[in-house]
Amino acid sequence: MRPDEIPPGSLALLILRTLARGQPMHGFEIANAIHTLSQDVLQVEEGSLYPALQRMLLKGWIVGEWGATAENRRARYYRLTAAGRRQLAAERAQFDRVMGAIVRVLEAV
Amino acid sequence: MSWLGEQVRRAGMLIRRNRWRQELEEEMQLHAELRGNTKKFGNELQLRERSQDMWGWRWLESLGQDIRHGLRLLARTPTATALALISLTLGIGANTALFSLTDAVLLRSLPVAHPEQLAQLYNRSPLARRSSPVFTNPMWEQIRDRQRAFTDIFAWSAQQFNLNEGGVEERVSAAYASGAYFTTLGITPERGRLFGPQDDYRGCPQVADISDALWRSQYAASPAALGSVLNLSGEPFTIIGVVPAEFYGMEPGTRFEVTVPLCTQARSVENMLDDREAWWLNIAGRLAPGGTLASAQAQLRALGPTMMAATVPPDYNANEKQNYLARVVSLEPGGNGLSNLRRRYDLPLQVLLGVAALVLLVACANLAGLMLARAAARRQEIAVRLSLGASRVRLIRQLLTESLLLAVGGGGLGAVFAAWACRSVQSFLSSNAAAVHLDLSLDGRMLAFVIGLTLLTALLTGLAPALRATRVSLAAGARQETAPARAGSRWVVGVQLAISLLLLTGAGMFLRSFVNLAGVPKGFDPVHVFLVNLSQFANRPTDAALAAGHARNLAFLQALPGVESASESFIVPGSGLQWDNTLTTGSGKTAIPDAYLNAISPGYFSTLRTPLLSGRAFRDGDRAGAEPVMILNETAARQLFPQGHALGGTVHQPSNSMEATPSRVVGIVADAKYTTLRAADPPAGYYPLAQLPHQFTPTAYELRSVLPETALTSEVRGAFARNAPDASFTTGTLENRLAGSLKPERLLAWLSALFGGLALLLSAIGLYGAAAYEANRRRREFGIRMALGARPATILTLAVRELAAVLSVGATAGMLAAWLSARSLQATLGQLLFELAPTDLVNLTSAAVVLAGIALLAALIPAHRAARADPMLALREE
Repeated sequence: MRPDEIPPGSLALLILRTLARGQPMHGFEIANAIHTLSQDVLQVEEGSLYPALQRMLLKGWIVGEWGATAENRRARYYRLTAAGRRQLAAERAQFDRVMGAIVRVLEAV
Repeated sequence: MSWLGEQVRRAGMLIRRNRWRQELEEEMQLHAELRGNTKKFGNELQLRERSQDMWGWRWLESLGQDIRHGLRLLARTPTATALALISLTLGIGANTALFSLTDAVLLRSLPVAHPEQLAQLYNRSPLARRSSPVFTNPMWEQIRDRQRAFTDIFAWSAQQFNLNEGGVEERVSAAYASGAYFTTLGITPERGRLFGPQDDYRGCPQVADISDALWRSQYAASPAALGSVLNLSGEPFTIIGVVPAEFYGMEPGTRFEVTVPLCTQARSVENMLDDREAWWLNIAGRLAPGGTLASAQAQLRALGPTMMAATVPPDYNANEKQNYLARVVSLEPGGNGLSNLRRRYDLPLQVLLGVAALVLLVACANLAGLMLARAAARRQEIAVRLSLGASRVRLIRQLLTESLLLAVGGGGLGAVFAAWACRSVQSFLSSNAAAVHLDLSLDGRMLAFVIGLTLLTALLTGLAPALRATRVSLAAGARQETAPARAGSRWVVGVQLAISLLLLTGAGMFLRSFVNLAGVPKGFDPVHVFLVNLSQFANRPTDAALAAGHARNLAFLQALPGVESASESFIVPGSGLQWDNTLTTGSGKTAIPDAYLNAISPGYFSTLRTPLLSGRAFRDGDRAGAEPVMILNETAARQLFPQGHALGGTVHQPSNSMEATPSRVVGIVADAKYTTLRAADPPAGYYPLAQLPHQFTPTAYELRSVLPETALTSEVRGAFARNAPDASFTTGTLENRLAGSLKPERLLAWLSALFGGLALLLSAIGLYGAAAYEANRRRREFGIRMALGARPATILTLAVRELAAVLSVGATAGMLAAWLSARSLQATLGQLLFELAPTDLVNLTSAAVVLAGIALLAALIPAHRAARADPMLALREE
């Protein structure tokens, strides 16, 4: 089955949430984590992931630090900043509000 | 806060963009490998670019593209680009240089605390046309002690001191200043201390503050300079402090290298502190906070009568006393200082600033013409890009970038050119006697001016062509050029021609006026006249010793090999010195209220080659004790003796109490210039030096010799070293001295000629470009016509007809503009011109003829080439 695209606008929320678990991750790990956590439904493509990461770096929500992977490859590990945590809370609240509203509309008789 | 942080990070991304790009590439590479999927996913480059777009520097990248594209296009037409750059460099550079000079000479305030609070005192006698800025020391003391209009007030007088003790003088600009000078202006010392009110009293010790420049040049900026003794015209002064470099003194253009307290003037050769007839002090004060010029002036006026009554010179006659008492004190804003330079160059600089602005306009028109032609040549490219979906704004930006590139290049080079030009003009303004120091550094104002000028140029030259070029209907794009586009470029050429004619007329006017002035009959022959100016001896000889010394000097100068004749005189023509008095006939019947006088030695007229019309010149027998004699010039003789019996008549100076008996007129000489070449020859009288009291010490020796100046200089130096080693002197030629007095006129003439020529060249280039473009555009048409039998002459006519119309319209407009501006500026121009009317028709017509000739030539060359072309080549091309 072909994995689903991520709804526009929610990628940042997913990345923030993934990083909020505390573990610094590099790009591939983030994509992988989202894929796994969504039970193989959501697939993040590089074409969306890296522009989003660059933008979040610029906004100061995340910071990147270069480190080594288990296989001793150089990789940039991202983690949340305080601003990122605040952003997550804000986006989460907004997402819940919108999602609840959509669900209510869909379930109306 | 977060916005600011974001901007900082954004800037960081720009600065280290290569590292960012590399890191992004590296992590995306890793991602692809870890994904373990070898299949290429999309366009990698595009992927990366999308990530980089997040940095928000896309606009800068596209600006970079525009710039690179523009540079490539400009490089493709190197000649046109070079021409455009040169014309812009000269245009912007000339404007910058002139603005910088005008700013330094006319506009800038003194570099002191709150210059706007300063006011300068003037006084005006009921006889004078203008107020005078100088006062006597007794007047100054009255004002200082009685005034309440200022919180602080000070007096100063610019001087020249000689640093050498004997031999060739080393003169420095200096000033006597009253005690409150530095404190009022708020100047703090760079080293040591600046003298204050406590240092300025009768009998004060001789102390001096020196300029930063003198401290560096003479003392190598050593702290040991403080406390050392400086010899100023033979008097020892102790250096107590250094004036900071940014404060040059009260007179823009001059830097006071040495400033000494006013009271020390008592020790110089002529003590003027109690002299009620020596007008030598300038006075300025700082208005009380909230005080106005008007209220301060009212207070000073009220003070006037008491002050005048207390200081009236005792030997004035009733009439003179009355005039003296009626003098009125007035105030003027003093924040810009008092500048001799400003007085002389105010008008010329304003005129030149206007001229330079017009030249820039011509340069801009040239550039606009070039951009128009460029845009027309790229019609197809533009149409294609428009039809491929490029936005019009984007294309206009691209075209504007090109003219901006040219303007920035021209602006940058112009600033360099301006710096050079400013230095040249400054050294032109300087003379041996007085170096001109102007603060011409590139300050914020200057920078803003250059940048503003550059942007304005870019807009003027780029916007109209860009707007026009992109207003292409897509369908018609690749086809024929529209008529309005051609009309536009013709209009540009017409304006250029009109402005050029205006500038040429001005240049002709100032050049001719200068030639008139330089060639005006002077009444003497300045060529090959060498001057030696003697200053006072350091060791105050007695009158008799002084006279003997002068005679000895004259004797050994006259004996120098190569010297035809030598003389001495109290005043040298054109030196600016002036001695005038009322002359009457012995009977007192007729009088000349204001005759110019001089005291001379017997050889004076033969050395200067002033023709003796009748009677005799002075001879050695005309000495003290013999009958007092004098020589009149033609005008004075005619005015005093209308019947024509001047020879043998007697003349005297009624106000001169030292003149015991009237002098007998023994000769009549031709009229000659006295103070300036501009003024008409005044009525003049000459006395023999030997019959006058000692205060008429000769100041100059005139030597007539065909030897070159350098050879004569070293001869004179050697002679003084052998015969009078303690004498201080300067040397020069009368010709140079006179040329120096014509500097404003010369500057105006040469610069306006330069600008006029430049404008003419620029418009010739513009016209040539238009003609070449026109000939090229109609190549095919001409080919067909020639193939059908048209003669070359017909083609020539066809090719230049339109441009000839443009030329005649432009020239007519230019002549009209020149005549109208001459009419409206008649009063101003009249002050600048000599023996030439601003509306002189010969001038106007010759300028028009020159312009038409050059313009026709520029238009004919390409047309001629078109007419000579092989018709078959033109036809085969398409």
